[in-house]
Amino acid sequence: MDQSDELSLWLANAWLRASGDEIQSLVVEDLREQVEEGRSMADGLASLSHSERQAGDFGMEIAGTLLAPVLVELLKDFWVGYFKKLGESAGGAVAEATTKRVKDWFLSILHKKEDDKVLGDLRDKVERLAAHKKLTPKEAARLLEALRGPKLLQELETK
Amino acid sequence: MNRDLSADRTALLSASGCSVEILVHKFLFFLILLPFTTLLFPFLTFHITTSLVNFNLSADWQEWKHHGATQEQAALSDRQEIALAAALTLLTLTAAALGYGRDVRRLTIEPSAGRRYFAPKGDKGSTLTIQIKGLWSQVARQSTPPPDVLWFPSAAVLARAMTPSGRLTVAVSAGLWEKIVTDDLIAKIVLLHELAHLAYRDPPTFIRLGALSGAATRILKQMLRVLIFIVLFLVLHQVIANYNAHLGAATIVRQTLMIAGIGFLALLICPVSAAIIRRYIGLITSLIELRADVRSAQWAGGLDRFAEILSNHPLVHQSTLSDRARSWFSLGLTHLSESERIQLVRSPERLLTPKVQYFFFSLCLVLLLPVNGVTPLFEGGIVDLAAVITVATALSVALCTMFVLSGPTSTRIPLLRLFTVSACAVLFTAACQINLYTLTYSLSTIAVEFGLPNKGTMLRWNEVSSVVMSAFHDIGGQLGNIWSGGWIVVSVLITMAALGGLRIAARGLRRTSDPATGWLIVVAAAGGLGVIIDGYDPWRAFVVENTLLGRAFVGWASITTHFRGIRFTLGPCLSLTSMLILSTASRWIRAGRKATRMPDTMQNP
Repeated sequence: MDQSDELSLWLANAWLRASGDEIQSLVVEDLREQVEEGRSMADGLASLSHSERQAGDFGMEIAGTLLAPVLVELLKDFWVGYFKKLGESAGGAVAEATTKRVKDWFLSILHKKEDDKVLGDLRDKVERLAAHKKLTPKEAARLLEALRGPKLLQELETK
Repeated sequence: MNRDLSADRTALLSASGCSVEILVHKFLFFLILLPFTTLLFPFLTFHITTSLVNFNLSADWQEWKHHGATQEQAALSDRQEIALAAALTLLTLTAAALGYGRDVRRLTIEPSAGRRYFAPKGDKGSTLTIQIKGLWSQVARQSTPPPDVLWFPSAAVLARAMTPSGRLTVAVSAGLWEKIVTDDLIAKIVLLHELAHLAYRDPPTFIRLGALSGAATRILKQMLRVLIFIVLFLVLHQVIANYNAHLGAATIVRQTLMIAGIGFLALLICPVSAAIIRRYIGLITSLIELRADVRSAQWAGGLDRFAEILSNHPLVHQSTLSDRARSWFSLGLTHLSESERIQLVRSPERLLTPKVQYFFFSLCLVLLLPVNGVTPLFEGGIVDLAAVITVATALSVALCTMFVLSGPTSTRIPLLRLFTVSACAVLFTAACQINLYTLTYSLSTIAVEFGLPNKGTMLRWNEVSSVVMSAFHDIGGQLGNIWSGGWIVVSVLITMAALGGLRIAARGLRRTSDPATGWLIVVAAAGGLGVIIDGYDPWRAFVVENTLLGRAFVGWASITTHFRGIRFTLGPCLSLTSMLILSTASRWIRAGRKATRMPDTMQNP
């Protein structure tokens, strides 16, 4: 699995649980399983918003919440950007940046409980999506609340 | 309270109306259209193929042995040809039946490809299961075990009723699960729709229809391969014969094109048959879905409420013109478009009468059957005619039965609706006389003219246009016959009156608790209607004449006498009298019941 995919799914799952969106976190868990089985992340995300009619279905196109795929895409963008920056600043360090080390680094940021630039970046991204109406105000508020609170750290540490 | 009961009765009978429509279409589809397309057509194809191969190869063999080629000297006798064709048909059917069984098993275990189903976990999962079981206990018989609950990852609001390993199961999407958690009204409607499917045991029907479509496609593909083989065989045979006869390249090319052109027309039987099967299965599926809508609407508080929730919900997709076109013409139809479903549920008068607009394309497809040029050769095209008559009959039977069913409801069928369905019934029946074989015959004539050896000159365009125009003129004449000097207007009016009378007679059912009387009224009224339209409608008389026992029926019903210049036909006269008596009797029964009426209770029709 691609490193940025793995980290996105890891963080999205915990973040959604921390924000009380259990159902969406189950969606992310399934997405992770699919990616582990060899399906591309883009395909997995596309299938989530795909609504096909089959006999026995309700058969009306009714839009639901896109929180899970939107958050995964946000985090994918975040980790890709992070690795790019790391590559520019540290050169060979990118190759040594194992997933475990990156996870530890992110946990340490959460431990500090300071208004770190990384968390600020995530907050900005969530607010931008809410401004573009890709997230509802309630969903954005729940996510931001979870980013500030201790539950995200607990969820990440148990995973 | 009475109004609620009346609305409830209307919803219940609307669902029964859908059931009747489904039953009629299923019956005629399984009894006529499916055996024709998957049994008779392959047999005809195999028989023609064996005959042509046998005749040509035998002739070649005789020629090679320097004998004269005669029919008697063919390698296989007629009986042997038929036996071989029957054996090939049987083999194809067996292979298709095995595939059908395999598909049924596969679809039972894995209801939909591409979706992964999971048991719901956590507190929200338990709540979901409890909620669905609670809904089930409100709508199903107590003896029926509650369905299992699964979920699948999808952002859209979706649900599916299924029976993996025979267990009733409802699967909800993550999007719907969220809506259930937030108590969105639409969530309840979606769930009730799925529970209605389970109550009617629809999922196994969907599996069987899906597998049937696959099996029929396999048979038709095999038929297509055989037809392609015979066309190629004939082309090759002709090329060799022409080459041996030292004919020029131009003649060889022309004859090849001639055989290929006629062969192409013959090949059309496969796509047209496949389209007929798929459309009819789609029509049945969409009616089953509509019945689930109506039933869930009844449980959700009424047809109007159901329509109101769906039409006012901001997240429900607004159907476009292409969505509507799909409902009318798609071969992979499963559901009507959102707007059409809402409109239908909102109008009980449309639920209680056949949905003719979705049926129209089925008629168009069966009218295309004679274009292949092969089936019209069998007994003067009786198979094609029977297929068209089946579709028209399906409409007429559904129409009469649904009008009877609509009797006990308080729903008013507007005059415009009555006119529309009557006009459709008359036109559908009249369409039985349209035979597009004329077109194929003309095109084949052109091809033969083009391919004639030693013709000397190329085909002239004025000859081609003359033949084609003659074919179109003939088809135009057939269409013009439908008008029949204005007779069709009388037919429509008589049908309207007869259907109206039928409904009045059926209203007697509302007040009678004696099933025997009810059935007597229904049978007599339906019989009366049949005789009335047979007596007045030349098109229906044509249909009846062309069916078994038809002549005897038309014979007695058409006994005519003249009194002071007015023509009286026995059938219509008897029918009108019987309708009058039945109508009076039903009013009398109603009046009698009124005096000793018990509180109105909802009855399951």
